[in-house]
Amino acid sequence: MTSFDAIVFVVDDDPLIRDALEQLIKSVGLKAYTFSSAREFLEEDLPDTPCCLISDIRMPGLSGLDLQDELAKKDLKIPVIFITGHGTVPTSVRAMKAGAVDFLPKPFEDQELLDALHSALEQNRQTRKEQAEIKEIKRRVESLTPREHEVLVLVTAGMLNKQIAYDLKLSENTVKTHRAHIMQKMKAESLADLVRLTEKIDICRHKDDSR
Amino acid sequence: MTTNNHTGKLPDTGHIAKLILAVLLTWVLCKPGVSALAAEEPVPKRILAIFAFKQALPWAYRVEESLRAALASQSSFPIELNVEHADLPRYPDETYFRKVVDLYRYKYSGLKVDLTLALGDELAELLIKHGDEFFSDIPLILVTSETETFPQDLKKPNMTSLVWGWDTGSTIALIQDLLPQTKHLFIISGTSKTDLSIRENALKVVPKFENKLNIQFVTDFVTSEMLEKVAKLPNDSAIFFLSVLRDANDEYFVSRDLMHVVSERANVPTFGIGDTYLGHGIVGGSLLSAENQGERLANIAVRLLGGESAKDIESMGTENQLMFDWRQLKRWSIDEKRLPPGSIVRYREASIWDDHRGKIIGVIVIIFSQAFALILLLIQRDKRSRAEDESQRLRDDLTHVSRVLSMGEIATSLAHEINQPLAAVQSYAQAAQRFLAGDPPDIDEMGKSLHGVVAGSRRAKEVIQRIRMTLEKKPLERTPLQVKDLIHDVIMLVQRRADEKKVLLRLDLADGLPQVFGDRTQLQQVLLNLIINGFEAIGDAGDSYRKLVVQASIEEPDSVIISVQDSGIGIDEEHRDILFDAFFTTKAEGLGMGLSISKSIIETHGGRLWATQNPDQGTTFSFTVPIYMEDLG
Repeated sequence: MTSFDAIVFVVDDDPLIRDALEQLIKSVGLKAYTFSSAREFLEEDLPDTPCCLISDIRMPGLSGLDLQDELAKKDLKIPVIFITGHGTVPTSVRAMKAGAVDFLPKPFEDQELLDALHSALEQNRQTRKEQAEIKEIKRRVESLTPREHEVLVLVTAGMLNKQIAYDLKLSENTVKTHRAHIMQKMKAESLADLVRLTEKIDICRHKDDSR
Repeated sequence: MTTNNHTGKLPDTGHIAKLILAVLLTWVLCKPGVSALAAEEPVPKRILAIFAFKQALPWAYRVEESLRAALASQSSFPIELNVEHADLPRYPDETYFRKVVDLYRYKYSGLKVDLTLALGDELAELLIKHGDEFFSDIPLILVTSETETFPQDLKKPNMTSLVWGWDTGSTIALIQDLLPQTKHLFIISGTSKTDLSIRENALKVVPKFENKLNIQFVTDFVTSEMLEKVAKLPNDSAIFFLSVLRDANDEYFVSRDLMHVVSERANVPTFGIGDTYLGHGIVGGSLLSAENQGERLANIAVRLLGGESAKDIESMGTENQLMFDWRQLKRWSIDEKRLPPGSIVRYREASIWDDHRGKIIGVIVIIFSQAFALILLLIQRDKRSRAEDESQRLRDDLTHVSRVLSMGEIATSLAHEINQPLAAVQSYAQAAQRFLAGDPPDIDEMGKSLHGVVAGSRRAKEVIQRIRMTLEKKPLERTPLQVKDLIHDVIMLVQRRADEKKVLLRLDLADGLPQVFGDRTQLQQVLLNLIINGFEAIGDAGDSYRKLVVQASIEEPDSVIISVQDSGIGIDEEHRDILFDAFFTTKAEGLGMGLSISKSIIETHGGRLWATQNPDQGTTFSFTVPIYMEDLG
């Protein structure tokens, strides 16, 4: 469970709370970076390590919920745990709907926070893993020639070799050769494996982009 | 006419009455066939009165008036009075007189004149010289200021000589009496024949006073210089103004008017000779009355016309009256008590009272009643302003109370303020636990965390202190208090709220409640809190029965019990025990301080606060307050 590469970001306008959270996070072997405002945090580049965010809801300037919106806009998939001294049901519902990991009223038990932290980091790890996989698949797709890409699209659409040959006005043998290269480049062991890989990315869009 | 009012004899009315009577009589007599007398048609006796003076001279005018009236009233036969004004002081030359005589002769040639009256020393002199030409066989009465003006040896059998009864001696004596400090007397007189004649009268009496008074006659003067002089007389002086019809510069005057100027300019008191002067600046004097002289003259004239012989008729005599002007007495600080007995004081300003007693009383009554009304209004205003002050004071007090009550509204932010350090402390402490549990324990980090614990607790303490400061107002200030006032004051504040909430607010106060001993503000705060609580409890109950009763009675020998009974939702059994605990609340926005504070206030006062369930509906909160005892206070 202890993984020193994981980082916990803390955003709270109360220095005492910031410091207390930092200590608590440190005590479980995690790194904590603290910020006194949402704006300050948004200026930070997120590191390439598992991370999560603990944020107060009521703050001067951007509130915690505003911060959540901003992150979504930037497509930054960092899990958020909200802590609040005066949470109301509507606020927590909104936060949870927007994807918050947890919503903790102050004062909270350390275990509650740590559980939330771990699930957040786990979630982040998972996300990061998926993102890495997609990145790899995209890299493999990009290694294909334009003709191979065309063939890939039709193959994953479930067309037979001779149908593809007809569509692309190629010989069936040529199609077979392309297909063998595709399997090799995509590191797919079977047609089913190839389909699973390509499902994770939008190969059509990717084909367009590559043109 | 102006001076008629001052004689006190109501001459106007008398004269008018007499005149009317005379006119009526004449009319009756003249009417043919009415009576035997009427048939005789008596020819009116004709009098020609010639005044030496000009027409508007006050003295002459008043004498003429009086003469005319007296003739009508005193005679049993009709008399026709013709009056001429020769204006001789102004034109003393004989040529003028001759022309005037010619005029009169021409004017009266066709008329039978039965009696001629010649008034003024100027006339006497000329008549002595030229009288025969005109008045040869007409009886003549000569009126002068001095007998010397008309030597007796020149007197003809049909002539009667009379003198105005000037009494200068009495006036000089009077000046001495009234103003004993007077050393100098300035006697002002003109240069006309009449002026000199009156001066002659004074000259005769002066020697009597010269041992005590330095008497100076001011006769040969130019008026403008004289007027300057009178303003700078020595303090121990007085002025005696006789008559000035003409001055040394041959300027002509109305004596009274010049006297008026003199008295105004003068730095010392002025005295005079005739009652026509009174009211125009003289202090007073032994004054000759113009009316009186006119009446006497009429009397003699009627007797002559009635057939009496002229030589049997005595002179007009002196009938002077001591008269004074009240305003001048005041001006010269002359004590009225010093005036000789029988003195008449006119122009008394106080006499307004006599003249207008009714009006004055009326006005005073109106003024007083207005003042009274005004005072009432002022008192009312004062009361109101006091009531306003009182309510302001209550409001101020209430600001504090509402500060406590509005805690509910700010409870959320307060909770946050306490929560923050509390959350921090908990996190620090738990972090410390974890650092301790490590292998090896991270003592450095543990120290940091514990430091945080201390910082957090300290902040929480500060928050609590701030709340306490908000809640606590001041030390207990106990005074004797009327329970009714105490309750009424609070009711006044909550009545509106009761109306808004449609709660029937009722008072049930026992008679003869004694004073209690406590801090007004704090007790009102408690009562207010209980009533507001009651409203809130009722707020959630059905509409049918919404009532809040405030009761006060003597429960124990030494305390008054005040209770607030509501028809609200009541108190759950489980909450009964923690009802008065701080921060216990069932209200969404409440802080749970109201009852806790109230209880501590009541206990500080040596009383109790408790709650009971009503048998039917709602709750009753009661508290006791000790009765005020003199020896305790």
